[in-house]
Amino acid sequence: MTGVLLRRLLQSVLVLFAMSLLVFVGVYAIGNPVDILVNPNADQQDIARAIAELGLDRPLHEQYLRFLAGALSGDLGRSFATGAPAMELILERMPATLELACVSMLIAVVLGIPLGLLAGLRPKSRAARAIMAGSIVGFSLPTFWVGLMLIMVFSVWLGWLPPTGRGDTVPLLGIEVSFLTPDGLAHLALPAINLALFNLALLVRLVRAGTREALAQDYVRYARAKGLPESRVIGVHVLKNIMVPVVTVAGLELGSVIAFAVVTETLFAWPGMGKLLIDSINQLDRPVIVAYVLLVVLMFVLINLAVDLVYSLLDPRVRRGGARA
Amino acid sequence: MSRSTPEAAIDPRPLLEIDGLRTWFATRAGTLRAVDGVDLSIGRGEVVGLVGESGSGKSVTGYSIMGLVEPPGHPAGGSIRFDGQELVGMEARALRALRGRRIAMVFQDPMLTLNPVLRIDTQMVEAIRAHEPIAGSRAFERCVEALEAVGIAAARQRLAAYPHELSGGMRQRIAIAIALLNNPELLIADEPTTALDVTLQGQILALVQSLVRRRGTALLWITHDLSVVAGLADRVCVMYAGRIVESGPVDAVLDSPLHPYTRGLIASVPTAAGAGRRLPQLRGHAPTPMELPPGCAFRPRCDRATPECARMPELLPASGSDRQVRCHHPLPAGAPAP
Repeated sequence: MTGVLLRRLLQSVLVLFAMSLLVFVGVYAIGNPVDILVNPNADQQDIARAIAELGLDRPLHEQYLRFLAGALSGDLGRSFATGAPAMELILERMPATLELACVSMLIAVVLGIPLGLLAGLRPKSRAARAIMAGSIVGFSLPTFWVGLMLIMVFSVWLGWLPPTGRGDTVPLLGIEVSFLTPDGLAHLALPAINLALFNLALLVRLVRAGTREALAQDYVRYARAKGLPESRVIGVHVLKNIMVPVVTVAGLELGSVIAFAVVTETLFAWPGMGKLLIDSINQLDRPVIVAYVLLVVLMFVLINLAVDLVYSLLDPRVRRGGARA
Repeated sequence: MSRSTPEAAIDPRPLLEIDGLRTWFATRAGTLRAVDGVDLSIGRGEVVGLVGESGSGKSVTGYSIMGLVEPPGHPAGGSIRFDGQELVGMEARALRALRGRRIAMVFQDPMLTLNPVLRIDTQMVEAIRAHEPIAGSRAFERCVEALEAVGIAAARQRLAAYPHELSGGMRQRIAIAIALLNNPELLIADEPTTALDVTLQGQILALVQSLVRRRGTALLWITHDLSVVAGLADRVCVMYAGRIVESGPVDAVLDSPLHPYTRGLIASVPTAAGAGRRLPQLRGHAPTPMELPPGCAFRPRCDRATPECARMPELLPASGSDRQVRCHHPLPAGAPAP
């Protein structure tokens, strides 16, 4: 196990390295941030000074090496726009995004597994048909449109929920969270539902397919032949077998929800990292963009690792490298 | 090879009586009559072999007794009485209480019957506790004994293992141990040796035989293999196209079959005496249950068929009270097997 962990960590470092290079070159190619940052009335001297200050007068490889040296000592550079450390800017916004992402995944998992089970156990029932039709809708409607509709219905027409912002927050273990205050919860509801919809649809289909497959297996029939109550046949024998794909998808989706909540955050003016990223791209704020991407890559690597660890808990055949499976 | 069992002598009422059992499958292409009027009875402690080709409905008969036929399959008539209780149409909860406690089943492929993500002890203990509210530790001790009874060494270590860590033969032993955990009165074995290699087949066969004899458990052994039945069963029922076509004491049926199909089956078993000769085989192939000919289903393949065979023959006593045959033109009794 330690060997596997070590190998995975080494791979992760390589991935991080490659990503930093790609993003660095990519952002460099898009344009010159100085054009945006400097006062339009500034003279040539001011501009040259600004370029030198930001270190943009050096050749690209030198800039990259300097960035790398900084990164290795934990310094990912300062924002061109605000002068604040890039990492600090991101970490400041991260709790809001993490909260939104976790709550939306929680909704997707808590609703998706039972609905998928129901649809898989009674595939011909009306409830199952309704669930599957709903999941197609959840799959195919674009997030931004659903978000707009949610705002229209629940904020504009019904006036039940606020459309934008984070509402009141309280500190939990030193991090500001919304879900513990009634006002924060009200603000969280719409964006979380918006973000959850796609994954809910995905999980419903996944669990349904897994359930149908498991039900056709001999071990389920054998479990019934033992006289087990149906609740145990479904709740233990079927459910444990379909948890491996569910954990994989839920894990990866959590990562992408954190990294790419951009649309939802923009729509609901949720002050998270996604919004910061959009702002930074508009300003060609390279250090923030690079730091953001590296953070996201790191997160994916960690989530993948966690998923693999959970696998081995769920499926004994994975535990020994599947040698005898 | 017939043996007398003390239980049968004490209580002559059969343990299991199946009358006119029909299990049909509603498919898009029409109704598939997998089991279409099976009559079968098993006495207490009796060993009965149910023999037939694939698709003859023998496994579905087994599942029907257990109430484990899954949609689109459904009971379409007939009755199954177990110890006087009617099982067809029985309330699900009552049937569940019977399954695994008084009637148990072993399946064909041991690689598929144990749940791959649960430890052996979990899968054994739950089989006991589904029927008895006893402490986990006591249930565990019973599992250890059950594994030792099926010849598994180091039972405690095996209980902590997952199915993929065990060999096919060992898994089938475990499946048998699970089936016998609650001392059932009837064990249904659906070709439990077919998926194993030949040396293991013999071991498992001998194991089940000795276990049921010792405990007085009735056994319904479902197989396509006549040679297995010869050494194991008291009685044999031959199934063709969803019906029993012949039944009787195993020696009598194998020595002088009455139904032409039975004779064909016996003739197609290779023997040492017939070495070097071309093995006789049944003409044509088994009909699919969707397109059965009217009357006797074996008629198109039968040398003795006459126009009369377009009318379905009844399963009637023949050649002594303990034999039955479903044929208008049975072979003469006492005629030697081919």
